[in-house]
Amino acid sequence: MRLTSDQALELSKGFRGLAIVVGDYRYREWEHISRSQRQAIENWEWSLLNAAGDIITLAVGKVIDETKVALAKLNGSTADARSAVKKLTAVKGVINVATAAVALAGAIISGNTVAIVATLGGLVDATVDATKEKDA
Amino acid sequence: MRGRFVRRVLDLALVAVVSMGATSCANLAAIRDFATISSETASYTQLVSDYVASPTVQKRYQPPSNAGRLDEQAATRALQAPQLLFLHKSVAEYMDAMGKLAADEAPIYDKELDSLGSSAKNAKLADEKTVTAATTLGKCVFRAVADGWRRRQLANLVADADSSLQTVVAGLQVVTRAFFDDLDNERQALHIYYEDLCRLSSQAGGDAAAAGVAALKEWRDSRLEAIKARERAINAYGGVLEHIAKGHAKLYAERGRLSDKQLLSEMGQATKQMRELFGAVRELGGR
Repeated sequence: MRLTSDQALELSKGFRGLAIVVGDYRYREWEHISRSQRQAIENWEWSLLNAAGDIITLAVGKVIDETKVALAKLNGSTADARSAVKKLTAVKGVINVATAAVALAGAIISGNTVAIVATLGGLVDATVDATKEKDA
Repeated sequence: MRGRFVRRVLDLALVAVVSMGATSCANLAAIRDFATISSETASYTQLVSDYVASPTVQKRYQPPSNAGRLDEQAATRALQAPQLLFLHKSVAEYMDAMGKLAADEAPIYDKELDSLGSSAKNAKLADEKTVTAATTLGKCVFRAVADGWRRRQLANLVADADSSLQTVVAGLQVVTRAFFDDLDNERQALHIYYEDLCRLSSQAGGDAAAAGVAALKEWRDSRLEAIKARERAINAYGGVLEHIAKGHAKLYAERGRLSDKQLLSEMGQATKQMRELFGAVRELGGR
């Protein structure tokens, strides 16, 4: 997995954006979710934010330089996830999407192409499932 | 007859010297000033310090369980610092040499550039293209020093260095964007921390809780203001870098007529804008 620094910065924005909408969800549903659920979601917010920070660090180091996996797909995935979380009301769906996004961030940072493809699929599935739950 | 011949030869020689040395005699103060402000800007490394410190600052806001991860991030960034400083130093030294040639003074080679270059290579986090460009830039300065260049060789220096300078400055521009994004992360960390504290304090109810929430919000707002100021500083810094790249490209394109009035006037305008932007960087930058 080789990304340019500019592309890495775009990805970082995607993860930060996801952290923000997950946080917005937690505040929106503050009165309707349990304390432990709030804590779990907050932990994912921090994980997503730190993933964004890790990717910024990678961008500066330029240890990732050229993309092999279509970047549009990666950026599209985090954009879809953001959009799904904005619409969600189910806690489980939010946590699943955040979990899948953090796994993808980890794979990107490790540079393992197989893991990136697998976790990318995971994020897409989690987003689709969460959206279905919402629509059901 | 012999006297007239000698006088004629002397006249011709004078014309030749004047025309050959047009650049050496011209007042290139505008180019010297452009180089000086470029060098000052490139020497400013507070933004690098902020970038390296950012994960440590975030430990204040994040749960203790994330401390290890933030420490790792800080350690990686600390390893990147020599590379970033090398990029800054390369541009600063080059611009200093260019300014000295424009003022018809002998350029100086700072040996610190060698040690920073070695540190950057050892860090092994460098984009080879950028480090190579920075090293080439250093060699251009070294050559100017070793060969005793003066104003007449200014065009040679600009021609030798333009491609490398553009690569290094482009690298610094990407890094500046990364600094900006990093501040977005810091802002969100601050938001989570204070928003949660405010909500939890509100739940306690009563006047004391209300006063506590008000104080928290005031503190949060002052922190957010500080982040906004640093954002403005980073934007201004990006603006100066853009001027450096464009200004040098202009000098490269016009290197055959560096004493042209229109060119010098344009360089003077650019320098004025750069001074204003860099003034904002110094005023707003830093934690």
